[in-house]
Amino acid sequence: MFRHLLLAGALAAGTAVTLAAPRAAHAQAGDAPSTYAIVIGSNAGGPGQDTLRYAEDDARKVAQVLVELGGVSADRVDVIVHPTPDVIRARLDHLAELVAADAAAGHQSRVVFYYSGHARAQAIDLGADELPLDELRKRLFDVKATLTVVVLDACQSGAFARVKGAAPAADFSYSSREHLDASGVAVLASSSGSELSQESEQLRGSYFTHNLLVGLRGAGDANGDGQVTLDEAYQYAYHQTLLATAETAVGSQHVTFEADLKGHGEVALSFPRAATAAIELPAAMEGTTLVEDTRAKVVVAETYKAKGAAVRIAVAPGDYRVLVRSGNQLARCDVGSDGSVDMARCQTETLEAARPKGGSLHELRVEIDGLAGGERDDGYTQNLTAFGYNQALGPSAGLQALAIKHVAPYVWVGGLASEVGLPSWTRATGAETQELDWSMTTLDVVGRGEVPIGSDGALSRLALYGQVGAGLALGHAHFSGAEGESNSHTYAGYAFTAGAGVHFDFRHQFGVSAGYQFDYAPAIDDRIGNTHAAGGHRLLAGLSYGF
Amino acid sequence: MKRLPISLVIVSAAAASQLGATNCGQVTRDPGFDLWCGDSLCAWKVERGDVERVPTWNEGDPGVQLVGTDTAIEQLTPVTSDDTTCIKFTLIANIDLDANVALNIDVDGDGTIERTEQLPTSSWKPLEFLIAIDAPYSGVRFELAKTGAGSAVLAEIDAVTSTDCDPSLPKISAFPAPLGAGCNGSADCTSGYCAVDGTFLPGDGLAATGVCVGCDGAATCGSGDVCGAGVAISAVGGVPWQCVPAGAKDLGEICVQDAECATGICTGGACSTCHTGSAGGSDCATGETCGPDWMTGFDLFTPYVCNPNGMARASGQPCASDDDCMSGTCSGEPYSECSDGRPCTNASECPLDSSLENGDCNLIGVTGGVCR
Repeated sequence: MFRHLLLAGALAAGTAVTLAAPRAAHAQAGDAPSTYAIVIGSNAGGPGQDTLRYAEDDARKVAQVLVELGGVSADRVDVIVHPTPDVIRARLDHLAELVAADAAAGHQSRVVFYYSGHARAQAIDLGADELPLDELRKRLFDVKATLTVVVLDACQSGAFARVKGAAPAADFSYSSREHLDASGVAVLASSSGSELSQESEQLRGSYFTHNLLVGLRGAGDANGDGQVTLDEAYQYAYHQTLLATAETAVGSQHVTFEADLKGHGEVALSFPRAATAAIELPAAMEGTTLVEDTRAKVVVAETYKAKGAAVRIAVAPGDYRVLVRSGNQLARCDVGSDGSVDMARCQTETLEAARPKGGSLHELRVEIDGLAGGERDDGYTQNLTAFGYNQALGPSAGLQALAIKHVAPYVWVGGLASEVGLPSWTRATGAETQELDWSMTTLDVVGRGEVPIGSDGALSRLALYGQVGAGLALGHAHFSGAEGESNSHTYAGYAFTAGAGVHFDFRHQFGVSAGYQFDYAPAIDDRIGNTHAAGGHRLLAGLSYGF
Repeated sequence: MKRLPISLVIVSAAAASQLGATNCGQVTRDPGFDLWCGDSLCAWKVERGDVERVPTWNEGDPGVQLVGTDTAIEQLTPVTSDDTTCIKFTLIANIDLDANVALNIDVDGDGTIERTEQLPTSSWKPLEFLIAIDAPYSGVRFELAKTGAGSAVLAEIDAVTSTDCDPSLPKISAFPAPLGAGCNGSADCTSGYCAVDGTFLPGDGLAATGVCVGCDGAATCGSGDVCGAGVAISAVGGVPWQCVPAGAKDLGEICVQDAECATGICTGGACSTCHTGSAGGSDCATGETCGPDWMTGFDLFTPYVCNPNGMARASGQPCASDDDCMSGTCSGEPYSECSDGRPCTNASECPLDSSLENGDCNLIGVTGGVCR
């Protein structure tokens, strides 16, 4: 699922204006600034857009982390789910009034604006309605906060980098420490101007928001000072989102960061050290690490844990377990009541091979299928009937061997050889019987499209396939005459096959297939001008072995 | 319609016992020309011209090619109106443009073709004809005849009883019918005599119809003739009553009246030397009994003699088999008959059984024999 937002120019222009207007540069000594947050999530898609699955959930998670770890009072976090444009207008107007009141009282204020959902070039899409970006920008920057942090999780939200008068955030090497001030505007976007933002079924959220939140929970605390700054959060989200999306079918997603801040203080977004609950990943742990909320059955953190230093992940009180993958080993670790993880008590197992989207467990597959089905009726067989022959009961049945190679996402090519016995035709003549026994051998070049049904677990190993092939047909016919006469002939022609079915890969390289196939091989001729196209509708089932 | 005396019906009914003889609706035999006897057809008779065995869709599945410019094959089938009044005739034909092939239908097999169906030019196409025939009838002869120089190959010639004939389909009428053919009344017969008996022979198919006969007792025959057992016109027709010369049949020949026989005695459907039962009186010497001489299996169409097979007859005395004679030799005309008692010289003269095969023609004794 992609989050479409084209922030081309309009909001950017407003940003330039806002950045040029300095805010109250300093809070009064000992007077902590007020922090307000408007967190918006909208799953609804506009015309031509899919409904998102996790945008509203992401908004709730962001709000939760801001309250838990961001030092934002719960009554100052305005979570807006599935809003209309008028609702957003009203909430921004109300926020502007609150900030103005704070300013009038001599207090500094910070604003965090988060939006997750669909957008187009000139507006964000809120289902059937839309909110023009120009208006959103104006209303957002009319809020005269000391510091405004804008977080956008939508497709092509990095278009925001083409801001007039602002330099692109470049890459992860950007050091905000040299530029940030305690006042100004910072924009964190989920993807570059030409990229799609992606949701993950496994994470049950977007890659970007998920990694941003994991970073804020402590994984992004690069210097271990117990707080995650805007710069640290960006760098963590950039790395992890890029890693997570590198092998997806859509492709890499680069988080962008744009800022125009003044001052010399760092902007801390979260304070995981102050959290009431935290999980400490021990220094010896190494590997891709998932922290799973066992009650909610969701992954609250996913990070690569390097050996050498402990990492503290702030979480809400609850039950958790930690899964660490290293190579093909997966360790399942319980979390102690104090948040510690005892690696000696982790249960380790060998990982099942996983199928990447559009990919395969194996690059080469050999498959043996049994197939059976009715035989085609045509002029040849109708002639046999006219000559008094009767077709034996039972289907056409045989075996086929398939060898295919995975050449591209979802695409396999290879060869198919089949040998199918066709129902015999007999005709009683007194005490004897005339009989036609025949079979068809085909050698085809085949192409197969194969799409996994799911992205993980067993469903990722269950795939739907469609297959077509063409090649050479060799028909064999043996006729036994009534007086002991017999003759045999071999015929050549072309063959065509098309089919569809399902394939399931077991562990240890074996797999099974089942499907439908239509074969057509006009090759067997009689002496009076009829040609039998062997084939018809057939069902198949087979075993495969992957290499 | 005339009603014949019981004794007179024996011959006709016995001959007509083949009626209703088709098995499972099959009318013709060897539809696929599978039974070639060398270079000749087994089930089909070449009436004129030559035929060749030629391959059809497969070289192992032969058809028959009608060679020459005037060629015909025929098959006499025992189908009767008790089987059906509708026959579906099918075949597969490969007929050139310059070949003229016709299906000729001869109801009752008397040589008279009642209908001709022209076969179209065809390239291995199945052809079908529905043939409706007025009841009663006794047997059908199918003839396939080709004229012209073109090639004609026929295969899968088949005829089966059918129910597909529409009432509007013109029926073939074979009336007036020949001797031995079925009839509903005198007007149906060429001879003007239709004999019927509905009670004497069980299950013979004659319950509702009669058989065309040539005479109705001696009164219908000329001077010196007597109404007796005649000669069947075909294997599918019954043995008809006909006027035959009086006292002309030798011991052992088929008969229905004493007057037909030189011996003056007709017992068991054959000219005999004695009567059975009280009618026998003093026909046989003391200590001898009158009995059937030949082992026919049903004591009909066998001559009855005194002390049969008793090797008691002296030289010069009449005999029907070698075992009748003291010398062990009975000289006379070898006599063969079909299973229904009709005289025959080969199996093709015998009625067809349910498998459409001709019955056997068995040498069974001698006629007009005298002990040596």
